[in-house]
Amino acid sequence: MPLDLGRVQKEIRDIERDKASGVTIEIQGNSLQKLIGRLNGPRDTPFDGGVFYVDIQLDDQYPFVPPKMRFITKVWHPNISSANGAICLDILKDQWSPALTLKTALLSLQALLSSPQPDDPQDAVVARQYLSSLAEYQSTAKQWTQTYAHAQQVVGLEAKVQAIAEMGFGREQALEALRRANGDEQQAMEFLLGA
Amino acid sequence: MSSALESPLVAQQPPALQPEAGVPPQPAAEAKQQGLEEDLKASLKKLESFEAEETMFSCNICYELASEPVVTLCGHLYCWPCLYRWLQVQSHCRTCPVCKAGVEKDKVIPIYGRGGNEDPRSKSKGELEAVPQRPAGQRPAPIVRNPLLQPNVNVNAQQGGFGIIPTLFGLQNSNGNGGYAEPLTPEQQHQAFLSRLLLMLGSFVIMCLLLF
Repeated sequence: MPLDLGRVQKEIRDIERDKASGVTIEIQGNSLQKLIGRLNGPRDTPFDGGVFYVDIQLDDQYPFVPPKMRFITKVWHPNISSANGAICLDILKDQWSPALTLKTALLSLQALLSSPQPDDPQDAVVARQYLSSLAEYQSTAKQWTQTYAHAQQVVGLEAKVQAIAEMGFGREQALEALRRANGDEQQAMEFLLGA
Repeated sequence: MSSALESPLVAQQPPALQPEAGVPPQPAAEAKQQGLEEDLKASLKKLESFEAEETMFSCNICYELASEPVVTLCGHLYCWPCLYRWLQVQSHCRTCPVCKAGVEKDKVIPIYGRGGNEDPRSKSKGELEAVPQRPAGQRPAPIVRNPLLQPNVNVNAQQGGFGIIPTLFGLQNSNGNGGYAEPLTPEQQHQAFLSRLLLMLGSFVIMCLLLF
């Protein structure tokens, strides 16, 4: 059975309508199966001020199975792999329910950032550091946030460059415009058309 | 918008209502246009409320207006095909997606609205997955309110230790309180009838003892 497009569309519309939630979602390609979520680092944590991108893949069985989520932005957190962004969160595994949505899942990731669970780690090194010296963990996490989670990071660059190149612009030109637009495809197009 | 709307409006007016020569036709048309705008607003509002209604009665899994609606004992609404599929996926411990209360396939309550909700999508869903019929509704026997059998006192007193005496009062007062009584279950009615029978027998025996 194919993906329930109606539900995914409604979810995306709900996220777009609710500006206050602090999470957004972006469609990659035209199948609705690959999405990119974006969330802000929670306040009063080492992730404050950071912008975190999450790769979302929807199985055909969605919403009966959880969405596959992975951090694209590098994060230093006991429950997130520092190497590949894999997330250890129960609702993305056996505690998933079809009444949950992409929005609630992204909000749960935000909550996970503010309350790490070192007893059920994804990254053993980070978890050990968290338990042995909290201050060191906090400074590393803050440093990673400043280095990787700044707003100018360009996510899904290759796809965007290709999309713009398909409209008849050169690759170099597209890349430059995307950099200027902080990765926003539409704004980059406006730059190109205005120039 | 105004120019687009005006022309059909003027055309719609019957000849008798056409303004006489010399009077500019604008005021009537404007008034009508205003009316039309109000109509438009009203219908937009209706659409919004319809949308809200649809959200209220939409399935918690597919977010569409529930087709073959069923409600769990915890009160959450689903399409039967959606809930059935979820219960199949989640075989180890079946819970309600919204509140995680236990859900059993044959303990959901079907909802029968006025119109037969024939949705082609739900049909194809059903055929593909071979979803069985949703369970039928329970049909409890209606509660019969027979004024002769119903005592007039409250149910709690009757269930207390001295079941017979209040029943006696109930019998005497049955006209005084306007005949209103709380509806009783068939079991309680039966009990009341028995206790009254016992009372009559008892008083008969006492009368016999006194007289003979």
